[in-house]
Amino acid sequence: MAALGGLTICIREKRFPAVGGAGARLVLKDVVFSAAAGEFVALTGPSGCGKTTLLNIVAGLDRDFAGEIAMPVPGRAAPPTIGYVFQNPRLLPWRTVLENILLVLPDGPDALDRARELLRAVGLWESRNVYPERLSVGMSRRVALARGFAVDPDILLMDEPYVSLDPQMAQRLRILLLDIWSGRPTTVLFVTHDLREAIMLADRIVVLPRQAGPVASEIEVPIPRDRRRDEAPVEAFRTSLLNDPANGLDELI
Amino acid sequence: MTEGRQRWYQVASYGLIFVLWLVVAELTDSSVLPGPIVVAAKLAEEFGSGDLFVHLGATLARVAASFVLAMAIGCAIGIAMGRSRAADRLLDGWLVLFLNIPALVTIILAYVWFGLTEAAAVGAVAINKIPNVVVTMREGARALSRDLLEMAGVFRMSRWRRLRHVVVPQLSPYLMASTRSGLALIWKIVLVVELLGRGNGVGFQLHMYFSLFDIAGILAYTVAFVAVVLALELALLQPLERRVNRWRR
Repeated sequence: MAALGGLTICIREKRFPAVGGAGARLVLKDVVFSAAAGEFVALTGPSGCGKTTLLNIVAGLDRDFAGEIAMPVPGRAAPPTIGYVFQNPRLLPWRTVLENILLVLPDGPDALDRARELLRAVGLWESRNVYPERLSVGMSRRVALARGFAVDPDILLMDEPYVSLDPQMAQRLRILLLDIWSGRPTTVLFVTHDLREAIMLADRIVVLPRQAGPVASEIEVPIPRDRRRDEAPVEAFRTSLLNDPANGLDELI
Repeated sequence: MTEGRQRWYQVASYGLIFVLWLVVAELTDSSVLPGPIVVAAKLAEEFGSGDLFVHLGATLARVAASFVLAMAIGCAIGIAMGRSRAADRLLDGWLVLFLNIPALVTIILAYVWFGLTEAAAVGAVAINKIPNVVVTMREGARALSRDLLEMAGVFRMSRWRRLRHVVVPQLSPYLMASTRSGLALIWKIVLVVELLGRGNGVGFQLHMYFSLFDIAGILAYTVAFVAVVLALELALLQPLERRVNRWRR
């Protein structure tokens, strides 16, 4: 298991340049927060507030911003390993389930063991030789989850991975995520606009404001992990959060 | 349609061409349209004398050389143009120019400038084909999925893995299209090159039979070459395509 690393985010400014008729747009401004090693942080806020942009900056996909991202890993000079579970699974359709996992792992005798372990964990080892187009929606999300964990990430980024799924399926996948995460602790940054989902999954919720600006609020989730799968405590906490305008959640549906 | 049935349709469609040819040749009964049997006899004669191998071999070697050259250069330029806006702007004018230069002009100029050599012949054919490969591969490179490239980037796939597992599979339909249209175009231009300035090859033979007004000879070489291309298609391209496409639903 990798030594756990935390994450410190400090984005002074992120603009999208003017394209066509639209002018330049300020997306993120003075966003500062951190995640402790092994912490599960949910990032939420109204749609269009720059959540995915922030995730792409952390992933290194977007380097055109002012500020810095620190992901120190104790005892290692190499850059941290990042796992990313995208909104769409982004599997290679011309490679089988197993190949999709193996291709993100370094060559070596351990690769197959690692892939087997993760595919068993998501219940897809039997389907390892299937091509992604033949998988159901839920199955391809599970492959993407397995791939995210397979690289043994220091930071796992997740971008609304369960949006547009039916509620039962989304709930099953959240439970699966928690099961896998509890056995393979890593720092998680999970973007969602669903407050219930954030409460169920996260240790802490970071709320971004609608207008580019500093973090609106940071909320510790006090519900013990073994009670998160019940609806009642999650729902009660959600109501209490929404009733307090200081949380900046009123613009969240 | 099942595999077996498809095969049957294929055979039937070739048979139809044969029958049409036979009937028209019989009806016209003219020396300028010899029937398949006369052509087959001529083919056997050329085969027996060894001429067929010499000339077909020379032509195939030129086709292979021009094809490899055109695909390699065309893919490199096309992908660069598809991925980089600067390269696209810079080279677009050249592309339009070269797309519209008639094959005959390139061939004459190559022979005049570089002499009646093998290199000039192969080079002239390649130059005719490169712009078509560029156009097709540029489309392919433009259509590369940004999502998948980002995924490969985040998971730090090596260059080789990215190329082999992310990029090439996306380009393969375009490569296949270039290959097919390439083979068809290149062998036709090779014949012109041979007719104008080479001492062997199918083009050279066609020229000779034309001056002798031996239509059976002309058709015999045509049939022989088409048979080779067809064999390539059935033995190489189609199995390859099936393999490459097996993931599709």
